Amino acid sequence: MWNLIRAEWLKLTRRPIVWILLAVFLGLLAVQILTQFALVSLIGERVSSPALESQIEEWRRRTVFPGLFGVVFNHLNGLGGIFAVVLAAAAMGSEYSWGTLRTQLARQPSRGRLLVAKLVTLLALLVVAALLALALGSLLGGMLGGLRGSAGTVTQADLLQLPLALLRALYVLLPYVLLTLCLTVLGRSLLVGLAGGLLYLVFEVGLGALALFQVLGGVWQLIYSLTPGQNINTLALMNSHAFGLSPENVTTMDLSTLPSPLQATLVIAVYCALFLATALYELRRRDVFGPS
Amino acid sequence: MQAAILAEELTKRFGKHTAVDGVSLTVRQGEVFGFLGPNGAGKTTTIGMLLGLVRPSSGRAVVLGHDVAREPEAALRGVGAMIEAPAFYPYLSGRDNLRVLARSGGVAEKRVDEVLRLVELGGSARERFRTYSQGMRQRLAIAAALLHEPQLIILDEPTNGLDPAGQQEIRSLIRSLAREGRTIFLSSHMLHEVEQLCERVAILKQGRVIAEGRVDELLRRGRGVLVRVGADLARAAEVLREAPWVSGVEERDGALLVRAPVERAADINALLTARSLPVAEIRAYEERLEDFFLEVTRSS
Repeated sequence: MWNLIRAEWLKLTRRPIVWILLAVFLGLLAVQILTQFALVSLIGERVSSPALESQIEEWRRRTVFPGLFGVVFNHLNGLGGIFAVVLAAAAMGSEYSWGTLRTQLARQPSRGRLLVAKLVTLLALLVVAALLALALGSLLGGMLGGLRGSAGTVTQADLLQLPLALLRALYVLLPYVLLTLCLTVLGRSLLVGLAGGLLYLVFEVGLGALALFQVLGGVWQLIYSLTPGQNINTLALMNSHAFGLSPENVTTMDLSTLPSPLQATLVIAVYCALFLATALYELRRRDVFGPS
Repeated sequence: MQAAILAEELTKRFGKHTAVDGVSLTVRQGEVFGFLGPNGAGKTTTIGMLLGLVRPSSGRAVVLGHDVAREPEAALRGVGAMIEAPAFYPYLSGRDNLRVLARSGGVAEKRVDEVLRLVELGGSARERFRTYSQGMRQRLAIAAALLHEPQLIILDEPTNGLDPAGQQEIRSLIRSLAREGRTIFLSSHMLHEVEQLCERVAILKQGRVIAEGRVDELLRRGRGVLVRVGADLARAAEVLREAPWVSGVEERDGALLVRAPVERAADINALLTARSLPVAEIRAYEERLEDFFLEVTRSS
């Protein structure tokens, strides 16, 4: 397995699209941090409405430590989801379009191990992206704090929260990655995986409209609480809270009805297992031919 | 001795279409085996089944003593394969493509440079695969097949796209690999190549093996005397068929191929002349694999 992961790592890290996506991901994080800082600096001082005060305070927390860490993890679970879908579709789908899956499997016939190696490598790359994002966020936070005179404080407890938050963020990305891999294998195509993964993201946002189910109560409320988006939101919210942020103050969504962390962890695990099992089953079952 | 490849009634159906129909083959260790067939005969599908890439509808493939369906890793551990058009990562260099395969197969990376030199790609090893010519791609695919020093090498059209000098180099390479005792399973439509390299062949048509055997034995069937007569070919054939030492007569490009020992050439001449059928040309005839191939694929 280690050999396969090393091979996948070589393939992935030599691929230009990976570095382009990483640059865009980090660039947009920098834009987000700088924009928040500018907004808080320019508008924050002028607003006197008590209704807006809590919102302004939340934005202010996002520009200083430890709130900046929360911003980085939110970025990873937001825009990072789109990039994870693109990466996963590219990593698996290109094997079909270039016909390299056949070359690989003629050498190393364990299809299950190949898929798991791809998954592990994608997650490793997401860890690298997260660490670079944390480094960039810290650098910008320090610089902007220098301009303002205070960058906030980072306690030992905040630092201890970082690995846990990183695990949560990766766990939240896992269903996106697995769904994309699964769709790519089902469609034997990069395009199917990419379109399916991105449509799922759009659909998930659309599911927000299903919040009406909560009003209906009973089984409808239960169904809504089992949708991936609701459970992903629970863990993403935990990452915000871990660094002193309160997204409740700046969103119209009712975050009080989110499932419990235990349910969220279990439901996401079920989705992941379902996507992985389907991908493995289809990859093992199907014949492998040349370029598609 | 255990067979390098044993295919038993391998069959592959795609819906109602049967691509491979009960193919049985035995490839002995250390031999160069030719696998021939017109386009669409099912050669690549059969190779796919031997490599565990295509699941047979029925039958089984045993490679190097291991059932491909049950023990794919053990079966393919000693197999190097090049299938159809070479498929590699276009953004990686030739060298990095081989490094990927070396890593996934647990092969030491120093072997990469050795095989690149072997196929004479050392100079362009650091160029991206997408910039390679067809010939360079073929060489890289052969290098990939040789990476882990396999016992059995499966080559599907290895000289496709190579210039005559390149084809000659690859044939020399195949010969030297065979001399090292490796088994070569060579699928090719270049019949003179197969004739030069292979000891035994199997010919596939519409998914079925229609001929199999030693090349020299298959061609022996096509030996005889070629006779060109001035007129009335049909009557000449009739006359020759009457001779007890003639096992058959057939028309071949405006002449008659008489299945008889070459020593009977003088008797053939005498027989025809006596019946007022003047002979314009008479010579020993030895069939080429190409003729044999065309004959069996047309007739069956």
